[in-house]
Amino acid sequence: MTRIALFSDIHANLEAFQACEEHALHEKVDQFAFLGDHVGYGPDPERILDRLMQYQDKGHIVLLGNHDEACLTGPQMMSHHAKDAILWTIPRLQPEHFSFISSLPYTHEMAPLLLTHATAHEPERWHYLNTEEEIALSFKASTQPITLAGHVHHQMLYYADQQQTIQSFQPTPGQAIPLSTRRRWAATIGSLGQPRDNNNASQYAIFDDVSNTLTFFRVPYDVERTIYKIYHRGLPPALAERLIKGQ
Amino acid sequence: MDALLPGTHIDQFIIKGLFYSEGAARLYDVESKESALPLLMKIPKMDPGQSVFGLVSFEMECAILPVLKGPHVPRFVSANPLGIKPYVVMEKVKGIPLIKKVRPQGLTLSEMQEIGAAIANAVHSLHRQDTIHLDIKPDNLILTESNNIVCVDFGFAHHSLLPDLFSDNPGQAIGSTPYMAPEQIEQVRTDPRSDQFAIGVTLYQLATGVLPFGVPVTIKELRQRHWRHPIPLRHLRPDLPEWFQEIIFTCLEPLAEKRFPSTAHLARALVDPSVISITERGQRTRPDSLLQRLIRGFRPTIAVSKVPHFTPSEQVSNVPLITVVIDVEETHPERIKALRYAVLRAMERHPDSHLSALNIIEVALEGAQQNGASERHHKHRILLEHWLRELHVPKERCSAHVIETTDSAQKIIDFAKHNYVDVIILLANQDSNSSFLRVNRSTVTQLVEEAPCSVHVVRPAV
Repeated sequence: MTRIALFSDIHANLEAFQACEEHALHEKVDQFAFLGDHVGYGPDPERILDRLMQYQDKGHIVLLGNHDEACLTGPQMMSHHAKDAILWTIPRLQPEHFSFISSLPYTHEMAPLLLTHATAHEPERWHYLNTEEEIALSFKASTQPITLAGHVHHQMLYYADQQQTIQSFQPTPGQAIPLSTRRRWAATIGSLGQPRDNNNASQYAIFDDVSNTLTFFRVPYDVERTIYKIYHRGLPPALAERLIKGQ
Repeated sequence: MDALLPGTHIDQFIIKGLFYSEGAARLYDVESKESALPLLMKIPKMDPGQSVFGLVSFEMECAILPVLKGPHVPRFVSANPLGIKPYVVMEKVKGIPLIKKVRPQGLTLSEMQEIGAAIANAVHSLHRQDTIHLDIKPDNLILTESNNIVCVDFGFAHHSLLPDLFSDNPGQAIGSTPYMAPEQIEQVRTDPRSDQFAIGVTLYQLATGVLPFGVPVTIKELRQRHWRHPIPLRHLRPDLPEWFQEIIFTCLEPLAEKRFPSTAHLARALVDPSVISITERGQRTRPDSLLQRLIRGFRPTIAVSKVPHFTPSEQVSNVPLITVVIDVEETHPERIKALRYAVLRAMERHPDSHLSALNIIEVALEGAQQNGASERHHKHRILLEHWLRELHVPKERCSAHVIETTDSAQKIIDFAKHNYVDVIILLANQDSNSSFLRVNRSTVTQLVEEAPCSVHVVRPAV
């Protein structure tokens, strides 16, 4: 039996990470999967990467996100604030951090799941898994019935109905949702470190491979502390404002 | 695919025999070393040509059954929806399906009141758990020895916190056609009052042995229930009172907003018909003439009530059953005023709520005939009804109950439990020297600790 905690878009938010880690351990998870965008926007990139390196050493799954990749390639096609945050992050990282990031894969398969930061289809192109077209392409690209992703910063569940058209479902936190592998499912599990649905509580999910259920969670954390760090470490103040508003 | 033979092993279960075969699935008696309960295993038919609905409804049942609790659903045991032979195992409920109670002469009024209230309470319990059954019919209702109703077959059900795999079926109404609510025909699956329509059809069938809208096949025939009056119950059963027909025809209103606000209100009406105001619905005795049917059926309006934005549990909690415990001998004006305000505030907040006023008379021995007991009971009822009249709440929104008991708290708790009461309002205990003994300290404490609902203890401001 495995209960997998799915953390995505941590965005260097240590307080949110610690709160969700504690919550997930209380929920008795046996494995963690970090779906990318571990850095960017937030004030603790080094400490987050150190924690993820430790997790990876213990056999947990760590994937690459577009903000992580930008630390290697330099920010490209990014918003103004995202670009500023990456330029702020790069000088703080150590060689072992770059080496760790460059080793990360785009996807990971563990039946019945395909884990990815963006989409199953062209994961390296960083498409957003929130349109009917992208979801249909991901269903086509993946051999696994369930695709779990981050990148979108919203929690949403999608599935194919009898006509193979895509239906969406807004999950309720804490409610285990059975995912029958007789049909195709895709979910965006939300952002742990920078939710954008006007609610600043962290978002993450747990998949239980015995009951085949996916449960979405919202976890409040000490957002004031993170904001204090953003102001005092020289990141753009707008990042603090959007964090507290959950935008 | 043929039925499985007795002795076949599926995971930890052993098939004992075929219990029932329905359109889309087979039910087997099974046993397991891990459970002493009598068990049923449901296996969907996977034959080529089998409707895809069968498998989807099986998926829905596997998703919903494990999250339901309480005495009105079979206990979930295990499921393997992904195996080569997918199955779900549940408790085998001891009892008889209500379909076996359907007979041409119909049930007696008291039987229908009791069974009707039990069905309504069972369905209300599902609504409180955010589930709308959407396939209520006598075949899916099991009457147990203790006169409890257990709902089975959640294949067409909707749970507002789970994805609805039937949510997109253009042009296809999901349900059993004779029992389906008009809005269900128009693919609305989120209104708990749809189940109330099906209860109305079920009770009509139990009363007369016939279905109020027949067995429609085409969508045109199905939609007739939007405009067509069923034959009045009292035409088929002249012995039935107007209030009973009023209740059933309220359930069968084409627009959901004209039915009872919740099935708990329906149960209350069946238990205490004195609250029913008889309208033309209850008084009808003749079927519509051909001319009336032609006029109504000419370009009929296919209207559907506004789709609710709330979950079923939110919807039913917005139309609560409120119980107030009243000491008719209370004389302290501030205390009387505080209780009255609390009740009025609760009722104003919820315009479709129903108020049950309870007066408890403590007696030494329950049921014993004491001198003057009947006179005292009568006097208390007059005082209680006066208390209610002074609230200026419409008669159909409140009812009075004088109860004699040796154990006040337990009686109030039982009342709340049997009637799915949402909140109990009562006065706090006065100081210990008071003569206010009807609701003493231990009664209030016991109610707060044990009542199956919220308890609002009212204390006048000093």
